[in-house]
Amino acid sequence: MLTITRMKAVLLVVILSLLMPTAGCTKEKADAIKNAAEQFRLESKTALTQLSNLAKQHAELPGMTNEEEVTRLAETFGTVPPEKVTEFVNSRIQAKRDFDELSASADEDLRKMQDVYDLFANMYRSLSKGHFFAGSAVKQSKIYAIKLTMQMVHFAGEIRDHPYQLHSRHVLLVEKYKNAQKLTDPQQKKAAVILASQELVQLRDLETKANQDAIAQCLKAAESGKVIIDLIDRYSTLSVADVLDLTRNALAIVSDISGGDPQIKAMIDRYDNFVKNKIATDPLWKAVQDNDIVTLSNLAKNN
Amino acid sequence: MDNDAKMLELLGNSLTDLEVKYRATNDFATQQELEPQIQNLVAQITTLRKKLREGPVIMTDEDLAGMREIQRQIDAAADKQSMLLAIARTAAFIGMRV
Repeated sequence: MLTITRMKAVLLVVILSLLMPTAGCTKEKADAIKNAAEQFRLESKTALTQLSNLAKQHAELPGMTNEEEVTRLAETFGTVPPEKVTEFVNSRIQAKRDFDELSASADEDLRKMQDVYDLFANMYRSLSKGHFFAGSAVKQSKIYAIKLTMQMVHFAGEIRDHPYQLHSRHVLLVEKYKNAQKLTDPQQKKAAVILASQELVQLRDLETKANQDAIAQCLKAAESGKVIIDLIDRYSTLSVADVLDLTRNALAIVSDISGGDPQIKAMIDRYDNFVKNKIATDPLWKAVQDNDIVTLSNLAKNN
Repeated sequence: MDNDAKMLELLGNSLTDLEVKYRATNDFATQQELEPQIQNLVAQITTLRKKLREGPVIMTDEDLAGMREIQRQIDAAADKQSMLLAIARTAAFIGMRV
């Protein structure tokens, strides 16, 4: 009787140890996916923060110090008729609120998007502990890895095609040129125009750098996304050494991407072409682009 | 330059001109007249920018629900794996002792 119990227990251990590795992936691969998703979250959130700053600055009005505002209000009050004093007080308070609200709405889509990248990385939080049985769920997660990677490539292209302006600096610069034009003394006028022109060159370089840095960060995020897709795609065939090679290569590429690189805009084309090629050759990528939900759910399960 | 770029440039130039005028005036009536125009232009730029950022791939509420479901499945897989490992350890313990 005791021997039978012992045999049953040993048999159970043998069956479990045979079943578990075939049901999912190894712990090392699970860790690699989890770490890659965490890296994707970090790079994407940095990209979204940079993009948010650009979006806000594009819709920003030049600020005023408290002192400047008080002087302006006092001077404006000189033009207010007695029957409009209440309107003056209420409208000056409301106008500031309206402008602040508008400014805050400039990047609300990007702030919401940060939560999506958090959710994406959080999907894999228990993967190291559940890697034997999470194979199917991990395969299905590829859809979202593709979507978010495509989104980062799109953001990079969008900044290249429609660069952001540091708008309030433009307003201040136009004021400087207009003030220079009003000067009657030729020497003073020349000096003022040169000063404004120096600022114009600085502003142009600053805007170029801000846009290129954001492009580079989006591409870093896209590269991190590509690693996850690769890991999910090949996770049944990859060896632990392959996983290490893949992540090491990706980290090297990510650290090489820089906003200061004169080829940064050409790099967008490389990622763009990668996405286009995938859409042309992989039905899952095509379905993601077309948001074809039925095909997506079928392909994700069988991919 | 595509049409969206042209539109952004047009809106940006109009906004800059209006703001320069707005900042230059201390006349209450003129300020009141310019404020809604400025707000309208900022809103137009913001809307166009958001549309351009959206691009071909949009994360929908269904996507978020899908990701939460996958998270739930992976969490459940972790629970199941812990439980089975505990059973295996117990079985191994019994196997060794009996």
